[in-house]
Amino acid sequence: MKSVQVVHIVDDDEAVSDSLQLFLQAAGLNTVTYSSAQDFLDAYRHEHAGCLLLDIHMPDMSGLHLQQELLAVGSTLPIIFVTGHASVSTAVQALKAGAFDFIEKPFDNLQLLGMVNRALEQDRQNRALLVQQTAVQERLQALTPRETEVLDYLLNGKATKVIALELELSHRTVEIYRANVMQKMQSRSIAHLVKMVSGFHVNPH
Amino acid sequence: MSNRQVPQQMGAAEVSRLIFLLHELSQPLTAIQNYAHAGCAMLASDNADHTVLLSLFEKISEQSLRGNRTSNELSALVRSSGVTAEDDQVRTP
Repeated sequence: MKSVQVVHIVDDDEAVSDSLQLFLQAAGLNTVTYSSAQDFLDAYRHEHAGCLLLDIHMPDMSGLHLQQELLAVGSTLPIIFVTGHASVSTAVQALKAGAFDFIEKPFDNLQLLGMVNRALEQDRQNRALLVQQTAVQERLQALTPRETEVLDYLLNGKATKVIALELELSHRTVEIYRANVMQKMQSRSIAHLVKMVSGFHVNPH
Repeated sequence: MSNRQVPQQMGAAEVSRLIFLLHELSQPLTAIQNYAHAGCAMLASDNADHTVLLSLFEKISEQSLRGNRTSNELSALVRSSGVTAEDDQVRTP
């Protein structure tokens, strides 16, 4: 998945968002500005790659409120909070809720740029992982119940001989199932298979 | 004026107005900083567009005006609150 990354700037102050936009564009980044949290939420799509540069203090919907709304819809877009004055408790709250980072005004522009680039990298990694996980999920779903059962045994380190005994099948039949599993999972070895499905729930029933 | 005099002589409404104005003063400063950085980056690259640079300077000028207007409002607020200071305490050394 190769989608263009965009830095989404949400700030109720037009001059601040416009200047941030020009600064980031001059650094070669793509940007879109929003004058309110609601505007961003209305335009939000899961497939939009990039990161969010979010003013923490805004009228109507605050930055923290927007963060909660995004979490509720399962967004993984990294958020950098921009805060006007030192508010440790607010920043801690934002970070605890999974914010990527926060920066206090007045900020060093190069520091901000570095932070934005790291957030974009984080987003790239999140999306690559998601693509990988979706692929593994699809492979798991392509297995027959019997193959899933064999997979479960394989993941538990059972040898073909043992699986044949426990499933009351011939050694030869189990070997066929095993070959099917390896092929459908696009796995090179048991070690590779274990690594691939770690974190996935393999239910043989 | 000493820091101690301000809370003693300003009401809650005035303090909240003061906080608002200080925030309002920092906004154009942030914008000017970003515009200036953008301009530097454009000039440092070989394809600096004069039209874009011109609009950047206009924006910097607008934001400087905005900051100065807020600065005047801050002065008015301080004067109207009755906080007084000796001339020699506010004069720039």
